[in-house]
Amino acid sequence: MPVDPADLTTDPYVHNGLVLTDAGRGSGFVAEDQHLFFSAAHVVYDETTGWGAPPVFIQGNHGDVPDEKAAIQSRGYFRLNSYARLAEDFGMEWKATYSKDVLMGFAFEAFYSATPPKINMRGYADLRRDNLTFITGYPAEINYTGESGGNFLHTTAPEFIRFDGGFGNYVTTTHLSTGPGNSGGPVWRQDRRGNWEAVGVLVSGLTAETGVYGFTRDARQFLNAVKPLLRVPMWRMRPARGTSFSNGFYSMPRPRRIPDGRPSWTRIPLRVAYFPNDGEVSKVVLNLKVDTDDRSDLVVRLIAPGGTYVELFSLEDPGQSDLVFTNKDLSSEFAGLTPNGNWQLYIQDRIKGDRATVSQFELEISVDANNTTTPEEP
Amino acid sequence: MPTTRPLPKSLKWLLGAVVVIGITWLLIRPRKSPDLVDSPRDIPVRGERVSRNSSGLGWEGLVAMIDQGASPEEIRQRLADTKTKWCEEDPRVVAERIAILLRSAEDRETGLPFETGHGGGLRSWPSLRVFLLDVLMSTDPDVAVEVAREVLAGTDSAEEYAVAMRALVMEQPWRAGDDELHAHLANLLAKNDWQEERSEGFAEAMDLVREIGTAQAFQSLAEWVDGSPPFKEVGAMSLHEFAAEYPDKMSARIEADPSLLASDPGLRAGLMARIDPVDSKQLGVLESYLSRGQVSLAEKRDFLRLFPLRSATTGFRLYAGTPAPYDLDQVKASDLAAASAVEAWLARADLHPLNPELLALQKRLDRWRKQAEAADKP
Repeated sequence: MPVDPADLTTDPYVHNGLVLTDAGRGSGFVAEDQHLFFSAAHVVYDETTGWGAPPVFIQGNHGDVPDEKAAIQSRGYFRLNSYARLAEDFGMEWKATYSKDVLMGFAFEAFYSATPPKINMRGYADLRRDNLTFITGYPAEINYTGESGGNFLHTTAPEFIRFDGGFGNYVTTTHLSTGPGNSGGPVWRQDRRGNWEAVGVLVSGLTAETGVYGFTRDARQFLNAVKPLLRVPMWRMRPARGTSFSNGFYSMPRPRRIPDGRPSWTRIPLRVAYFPNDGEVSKVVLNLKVDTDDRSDLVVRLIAPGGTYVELFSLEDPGQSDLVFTNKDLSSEFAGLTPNGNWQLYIQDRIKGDRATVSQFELEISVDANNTTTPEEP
Repeated sequence: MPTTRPLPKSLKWLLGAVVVIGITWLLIRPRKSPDLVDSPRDIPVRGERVSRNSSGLGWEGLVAMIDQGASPEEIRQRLADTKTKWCEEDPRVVAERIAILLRSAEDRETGLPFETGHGGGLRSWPSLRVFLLDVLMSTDPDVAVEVAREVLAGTDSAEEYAVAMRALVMEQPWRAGDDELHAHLANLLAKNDWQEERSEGFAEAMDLVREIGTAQAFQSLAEWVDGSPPFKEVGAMSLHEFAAEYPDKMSARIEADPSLLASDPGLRAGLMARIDPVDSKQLGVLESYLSRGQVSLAEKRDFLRLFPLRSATTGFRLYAGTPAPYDLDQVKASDLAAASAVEAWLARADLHPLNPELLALQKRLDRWRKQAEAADKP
């Protein structure tokens, strides 16, 4: 049903917009940052012909022809995909395509001035539980009645719906009916504080079947990729509204000398505990100082609980002294991981001659404390 | 009757001290289990008897769990927990024990897909040997490289091959030379059976081209794509991810070999659209591309529809990290340079048939310039 025009500037309708391409139209919604919108990948990207030109995003209701003055030209978009997922296509009809059917557009100009909602990174799990949800978007035609939807924002009636697992991130339900053009529209759900969040993106629809891409923690990779384009630290991109973080500082108690000229790791663990067990790392900042006359002898890794590691330094800068990292932001490398456990500095001094001592090893770790549902990945 | 002379008091004290020191040493001496070895060269070779119970890693429990029919999700959780546990133990000891297990050739399929996660580590392992190779990467790099080369030389599993390659693309001093990496790429591209079965390991290994980062690697993959192989789409994605990071090397190859990718003009147009016109060399390649009679008008139109293409795929990758190829300053400068180039192209009589596309591009570039200028204002 059409959204009352008086509600277009209210939450969550204000976040919606038409997504127009050279070839057609779809729906989308701003989330996470005023410069970002999300939609279904197939609205812009054709699996056969490949990349399309960046689409424009237009908010509000429009008559037969969308108002170009209200259109904001996006500068580009990211698709979230893996090589292994390409291997799945064969024999899966469209399900494998739908399971990766999401994109994030970006622009140098803000799409609006409102506070954007957040993506629920566990949307996939939430879609598979009974939740009061509804879908908004711009159907060109209403599947159920065959009527034209024009360029007007529509919404499904809020209903308690449990989506069934389909394939990967793709889930379906038979309770809803949308229409062509609604692809890319968000599935809305209210969090415990009453804030609207997007749990998924509409990607397919028949008269009595609706398919949705459910968000998982992988969506953080979108934010990682767009970070250099927006110049906003990734951990700041999570909206302040309705989000709380818990924070911890951890440091080694005393300096540690590294065996000289020995090609094996010395490990310095920092025990991180007391974060919620289902919390996810949102920020990691490192301060490290290794006193040495020649840092080109050193190899240094930081390993998170679970084995994910980042190579911090490896035999660089011959003749240079101390190795120092001050407030090095490693959030992109570790965001989304479990915080609790041993975070370990692995260090080795592979060349004999200069003694090295780790005099400072400190981590600041923040966790998005709002993610309290049980994690479930497709 | 024998007589005994009492020990002098000072000698008694000395003996007592020796006994106390001896007992203390026995209690606190560094321990080394009998099955440990000191260097990778001491590790038993394939076929040598492996005592499963002496592995100390809980391997036998993993094997038993799978043999008893645990579900893939149970196996995934157990493997993730095991990886966390192993990563908190002495990395050299774990590496050497993993090496023994890999050389024993014992294996089980898990029923799980091959899935890459943070930092190139896996979060889902199709077999126990793939799991072992994955964990090996987080342990001792010297052992990892030695074992990886053995696996690469002997395996018939694409997934094992893909994970073992991670050891050869680590930072120095472990990174293999370009010649060895090119040889592995050529070997992969020649594996028809892995392509025909659309192996996930083969697909993920396509990230190797971006990791190697040479014009030769690009050329090899482009020639493979030109042969229309059954799994061409992974090659197309890899070429785009390479071109986004190394537009100079990509364009130089296409300039040097104009027949390259002639089999897929749409793909070539997209790759050329990633050229950075700020670089006069790359701009020169574009001029000659647009002038070339062998390049069809349709291909040139595709190019102009996308240029300068700054959209991209992103997600977890096995070797070269999450793609985030563009940054704000580069895109802004590149758009300005593109606008100048388009103005010049509009004045060229030989490009007159492309005027509609050139004018549309000019309009887009103008909008992006205005957006960027507005965003720069405080």
